[in-house]
Amino acid sequence: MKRILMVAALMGVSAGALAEAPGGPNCGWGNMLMNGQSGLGAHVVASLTNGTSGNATFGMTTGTNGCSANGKLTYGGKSLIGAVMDEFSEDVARGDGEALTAVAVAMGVDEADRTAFKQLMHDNFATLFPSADVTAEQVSERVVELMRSNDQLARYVS
Amino acid sequence: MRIGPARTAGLLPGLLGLLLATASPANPAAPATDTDSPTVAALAGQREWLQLLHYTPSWLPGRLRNFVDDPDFFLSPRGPHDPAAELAATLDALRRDPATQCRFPARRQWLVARLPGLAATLPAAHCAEYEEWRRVLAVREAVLVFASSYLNSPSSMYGHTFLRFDSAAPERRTPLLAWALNFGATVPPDENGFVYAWRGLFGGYPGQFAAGPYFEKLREYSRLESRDLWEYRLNLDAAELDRLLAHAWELRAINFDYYFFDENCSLRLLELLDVARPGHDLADQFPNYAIPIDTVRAVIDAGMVTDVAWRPATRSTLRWQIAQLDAGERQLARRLADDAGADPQAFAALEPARQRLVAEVAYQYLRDRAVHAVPDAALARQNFALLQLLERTAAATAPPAPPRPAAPETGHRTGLAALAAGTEESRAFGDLEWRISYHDLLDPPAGYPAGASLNMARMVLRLKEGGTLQLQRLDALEITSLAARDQFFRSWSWRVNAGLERQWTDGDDILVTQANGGFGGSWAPLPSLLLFALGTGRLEVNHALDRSLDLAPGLAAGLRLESPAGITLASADFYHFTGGEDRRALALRHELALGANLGLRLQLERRVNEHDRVDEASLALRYHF
Repeated sequence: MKRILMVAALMGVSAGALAEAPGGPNCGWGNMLMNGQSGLGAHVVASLTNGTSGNATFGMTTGTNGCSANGKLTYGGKSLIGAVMDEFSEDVARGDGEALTAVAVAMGVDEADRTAFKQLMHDNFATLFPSADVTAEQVSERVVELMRSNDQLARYVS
Repeated sequence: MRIGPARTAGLLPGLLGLLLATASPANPAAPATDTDSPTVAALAGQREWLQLLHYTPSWLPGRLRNFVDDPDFFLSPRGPHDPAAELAATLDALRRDPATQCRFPARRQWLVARLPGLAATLPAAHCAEYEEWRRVLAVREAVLVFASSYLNSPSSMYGHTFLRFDSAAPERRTPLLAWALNFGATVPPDENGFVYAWRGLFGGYPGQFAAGPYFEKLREYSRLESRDLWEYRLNLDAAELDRLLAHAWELRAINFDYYFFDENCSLRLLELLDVARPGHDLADQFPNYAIPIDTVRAVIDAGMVTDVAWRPATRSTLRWQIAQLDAGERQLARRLADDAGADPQAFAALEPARQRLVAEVAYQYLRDRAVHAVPDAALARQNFALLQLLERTAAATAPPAPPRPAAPETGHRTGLAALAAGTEESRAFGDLEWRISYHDLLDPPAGYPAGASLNMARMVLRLKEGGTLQLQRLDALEITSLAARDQFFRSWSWRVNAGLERQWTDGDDILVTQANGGFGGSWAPLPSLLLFALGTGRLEVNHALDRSLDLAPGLAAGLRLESPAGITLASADFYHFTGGEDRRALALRHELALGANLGLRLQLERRVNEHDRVDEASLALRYHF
């Protein structure tokens, strides 16, 4: 909790775009690389029925999962990077891809600046993913930090 | 749900403003409680009202039944069968309670448009929850998504469809951040596994609409189930999307009847599209069953699709990339997947573009294997090491995207009728075959998953020389899944079949009831050639056997060859019944496609047991309709 508050502080607790830490406690944070997959059980449920298990939402951001929905890097109240961690890490390694685009779009990066965003992420692969047990929370923090220290992209996180 | 006491309805300001402006207080709507009022009766009979309420003609003439299995959807106790009572109750509730306007925005919209003056009699409603939902979705476009056939799950064998809503919001304007609206069973959390499996297979869970992020659907279909997705962009305009979403909102948490074997997720979507764009009556085209790809065709035929995009499953891309590697590179990629530090000299000796392709294959292959593995520290380390390898090779040219296969809607149609002429034991016969669905190993393969056969309700009637007409076979179900094994994929092949068929036993041609299944492997020494071998088992009810209900273990082997001359399937089957009888069958079948929906099939078959040796040859003209 303390850490998340600190992140929120880092991101500028203000009326600015990232007034709150993306997500919140108990919000799918702490997803490590490779742990982002739902288990086999959930998969069997989904594939047998085409359905959903448990709190079937209707795309509402409010409600059941105890997440703050105000951060940019959230989706349906969950951490976006936590939700697409595997895909995002691959795309950063390659320097392109739909998950990387999705994070740029969610951060509000204009189309004209997306190439720069992708290049920045790719060039800093080792910063974003220093080890196998990096968490989605840490990755999200570093995405913001990298953007902040980049002349072209800082305006999206100020 | 919050209701603002003195606010004007702000649901759809533009549209409502227009409606309110045209409403005339001098012309009030018919009394709401009067079911016999001509206005109410006439409106309640309109197709659009029936579609909004999900009525469908019942077996009894003049009667209606309803797909909705939920009292919360109806405002009148007679609602499930009586559209006029429901309409009267809706008018009454709209006037009485502002919450009804928020709960049923599509009904409200439709009635307000048809009853001049109604809007003026409605209380002010502030639909905060609904408006927030619409604001979050900010729908710009809708896409119909078809997930290709998945034989390992009964509810997905014929494929699956759902809707994707692309957002107009700048921070959501990319496919991954779109919302998917899916109709499927809703399983309670913490459901017991056995109960789950039973009800999952045989029904028992209610069906509901649920919305969720598209990236979760991609993970489910593209990564976990290796199913290609086909995205059909719809040309719904703003008013049509508005109606669709207003109605989808009415269906939130509403239970429908849901049966797995007559897959009806696709039918539910057609009903939504019928509400969005009245006049095509898409759902009515499928009174008995709705095969997902047929519903996609209906939507295309109605002129609602502007373009089609293909999104290969992760494994489809991986398989294609593996096929681009030479034998040495393949070996290397396979070793790297186990150990990212394996053979650095061999890796360094490759051209940069080949290094990248090898790294891609090694990484994706590890990911593919990890999908069903319990994540552990060693796997995470290896995953990370390959990710680093991928990053180091990323400066080289990216591997080209796999070529797009034939779109599923361009494949042969799903029904089949065939006429055959042949001889059995030197006596002529004619066969009439009819199959409700879907595809076998010899049918034209374009648009269908390779190596897969899925057939339900297949019947063959035989007219024999001398005038005897007999039921030759009736297959309730036949599924075959042949997936080639190689150094990367340890896939299993299997088949099941149950129904009635003719078996020569003790010199008689006997109609037996049987079920059989097999499990084994397939190998593809050439891309066009598949060899398979299965251990099999068979249960047969046949009074001419020593045991009238007998079990036979067996073996089956064969090959399937695709060539410019058509598709050839050769097979050998052996069974040994516990009562002592042995049975062997050799078959050679060949189909020459004469068009997308027409084929000529030659079949040669020899069946041998202790008393009988029966040779059969036939030539069939097969038409898919």
